[in-house]
Amino acid sequence: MRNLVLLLLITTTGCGTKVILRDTNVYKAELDQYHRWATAQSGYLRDFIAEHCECDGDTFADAECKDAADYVLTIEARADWHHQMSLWNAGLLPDDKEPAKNPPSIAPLTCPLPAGLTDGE
Amino acid sequence: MSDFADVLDTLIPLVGGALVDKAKDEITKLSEDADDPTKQIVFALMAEAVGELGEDGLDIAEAEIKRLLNGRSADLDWASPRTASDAVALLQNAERGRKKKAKAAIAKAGKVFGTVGALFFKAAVSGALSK
Repeated sequence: MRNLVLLLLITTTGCGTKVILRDTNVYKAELDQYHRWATAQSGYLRDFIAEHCECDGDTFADAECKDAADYVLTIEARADWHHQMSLWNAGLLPDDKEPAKNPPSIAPLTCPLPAGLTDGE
Repeated sequence: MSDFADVLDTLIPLVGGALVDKAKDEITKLSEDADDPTKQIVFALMAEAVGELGEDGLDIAEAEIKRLLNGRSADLDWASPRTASDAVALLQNAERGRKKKAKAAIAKAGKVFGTVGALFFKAAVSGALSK
């Protein structure tokens, strides 16, 4: 038995990246919470941008508005895919729920912001 | 990887000469022309590092991109959210690929062990019967 444990230790440590063992339920709860935080913030940020940011042609007049808008578009397009990939790589999704190979494309940054997921579309 | 090193060698003197915008444009063009998604991400990260951090950007980018390409966690604070997302997607897809290979290897090993096990079983049974 001791030799078996030693063999397992030798074959699983010392090379490659560290592999972390986590409680499945806690890990999933964390991922879900981070995902909800990101998408909820993105929704609030979208409303804030619509209310307070001005356009200069088809770009944002203010650099902070531009950066904020880029976050909104990225989160709206990608948060779900990254979340699903985290679950998939952890073996927490059934075989028929494998995420697409390529992440969804992100809409180009324009002012005003193109309609997004948080607009109910 | 050698393309990446060549680009760095060519561009560091250029950036050192305070031609940050020109260097950023050059790298962005390389990123757009790159045929491989990994190269595209590497060049996009370099362009953004130069744009955000100036002439120090390439050194920082080089160190962090090397960490990223070695599958280690990298500090990509300078990167835009969309480029950072591309970089994380690269890591996630690489992990998915490794897991698929491991799964295939385990399935193959299972078949081999199954066959070997069946042979041993047959040998043991025939051995016992011959006694």
